[in-house]
Amino acid sequence: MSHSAIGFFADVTSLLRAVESARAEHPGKLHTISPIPLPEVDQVLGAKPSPVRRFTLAGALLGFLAGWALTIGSAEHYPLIVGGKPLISLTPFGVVAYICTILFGALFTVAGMLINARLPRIQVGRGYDPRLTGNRFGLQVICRPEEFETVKRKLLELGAEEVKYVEV
Amino acid sequence: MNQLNYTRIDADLVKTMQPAGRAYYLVLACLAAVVAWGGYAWSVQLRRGLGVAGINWPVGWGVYITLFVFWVGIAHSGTLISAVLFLFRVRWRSSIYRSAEAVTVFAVMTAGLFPLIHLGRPWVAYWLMPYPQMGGLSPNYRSPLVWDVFAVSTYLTVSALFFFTGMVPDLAVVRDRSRGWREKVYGLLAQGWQGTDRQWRHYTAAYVFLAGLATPLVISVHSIVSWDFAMSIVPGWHTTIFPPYFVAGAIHSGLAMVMLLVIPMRRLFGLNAYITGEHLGNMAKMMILTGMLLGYSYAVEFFIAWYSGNPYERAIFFYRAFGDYAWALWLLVAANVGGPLLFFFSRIRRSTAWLFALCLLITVGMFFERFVIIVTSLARDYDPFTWRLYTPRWPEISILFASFAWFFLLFLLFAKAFPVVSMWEVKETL
Repeated sequence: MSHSAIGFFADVTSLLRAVESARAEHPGKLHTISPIPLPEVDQVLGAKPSPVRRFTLAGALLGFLAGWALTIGSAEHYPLIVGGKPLISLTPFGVVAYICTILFGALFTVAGMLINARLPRIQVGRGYDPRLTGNRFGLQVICRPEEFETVKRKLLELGAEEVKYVEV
Repeated sequence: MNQLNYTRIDADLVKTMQPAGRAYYLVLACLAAVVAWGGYAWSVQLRRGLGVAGINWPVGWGVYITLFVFWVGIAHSGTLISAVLFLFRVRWRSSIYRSAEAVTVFAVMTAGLFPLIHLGRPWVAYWLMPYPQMGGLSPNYRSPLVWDVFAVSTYLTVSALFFFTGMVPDLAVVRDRSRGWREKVYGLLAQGWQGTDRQWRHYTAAYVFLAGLATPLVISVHSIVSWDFAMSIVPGWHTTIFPPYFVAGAIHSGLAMVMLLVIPMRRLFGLNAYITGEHLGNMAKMMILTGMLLGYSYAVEFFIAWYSGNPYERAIFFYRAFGDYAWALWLLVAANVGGPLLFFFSRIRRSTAWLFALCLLITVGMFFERFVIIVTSLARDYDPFTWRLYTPRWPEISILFASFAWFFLLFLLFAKAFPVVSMWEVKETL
């Protein structure tokens, strides 16, 4: 079980200031919870780019190959000349391959997002506060129980309106 | 949107999902009744055969295929507004893209019904899909009709993924402000979303890639639909201008439909602070562009028919302009090209009554555009011996109205069950 302190901030500016200040003291132990995406936080925390792009690429490549395999494989499996066109008609088969590229790319993108974001979950994590999808910004600091008071004081100094102790 | 803040956005948009009044259920019941009547008409057609409809030799594609093309076209503006404008970082899209995406998903769902309704034996529709078959037969991948199956089903899948993915953070907001069974249902739909930096990082990355993948679909899906016609040698269909012409028309009709839904919605839900005159004005400006593109396409079609020197092409375009269906052609030209020109006047762009009336006119005009393309070319093919007029019969007309009722029914259900404006993106723009 891990323990953490969540500081509630009224606006993005004070949250970002707090993240910058706390970063050196708690490397790798800071997380934000916010109602909107904050790319600035990723920059400050030095987060690596999302690997979702690799899923997209893999899906698109797989779809492209699957489209060709489906059309050429079908034509080879049951050779039937239709409309005077060659058995392996690259132009029309390319249309199917293109569509499969998009379809598989999209499916893999969503799968990549779900896997990396650790979704779906049946319930939200313990200690989650509904204000954080509303009008407050949270800074979660992972700390030992005995460190909580120090972290709380620090977060309050940095502008947090309230600090909550959470066992996850 | 300066007077908005996070608390008000949540409150205003969650309020739109409160239990509806009697009028809502009355409208819902009326729409369901029209859908049921359409279902009855289809059942008659299934029992007695396609002969009860007006489609016959030589006009085998009538109102059903017209509606298929029309509804696929309606879908396009949603993807344009949600994906293309997102990639171009157009800020005003945030208030309207959710409704536009809903239009996309529901319009494709409606369009997908028509190839089935048009079939004499819809129970064998799965023959169009690739599936393991004992004889080893596959669909004919060289046929544009099979491309259509792939394109439209992919469009529905990608649009639905994009629509639902975009809604997840908002569903979490609704979950956090609901109690009882609603909290449980929205909790499941929100998938445990909390808004952590990790979730947002992967979410925003996925959103960009989904937008990137949906963008080429704006161009390709209706291009592929247009190839259903352009790949044939029927006069009036066999032309290379069809893909861009169909795409421009699709976006034109889709924008009109989005306006038709958004204008009453913002009034009924009191969303004037979110969907402002600027949003409506910007969509009207886009329709000036698409209307002019359509006007250019109409002119080029006629010019090329004359310039080609091909007597059959010349004859069919002469027939379109002065023949039995000429009234429909002049109506569509006035509606689709003349109507949007009025949007040049800022007074008209600022008037919701004018916007609504003109968008209604454009929607009717776009239906007739598809009708004229499909029906006139088939009614006057190469051989005068085969010439015959087409008039839709009661099953087709019933199903036509039922398709509109079905679409509006889906949209009404959506408007009460989900946030109609993206909360997180509106918050982001503050």
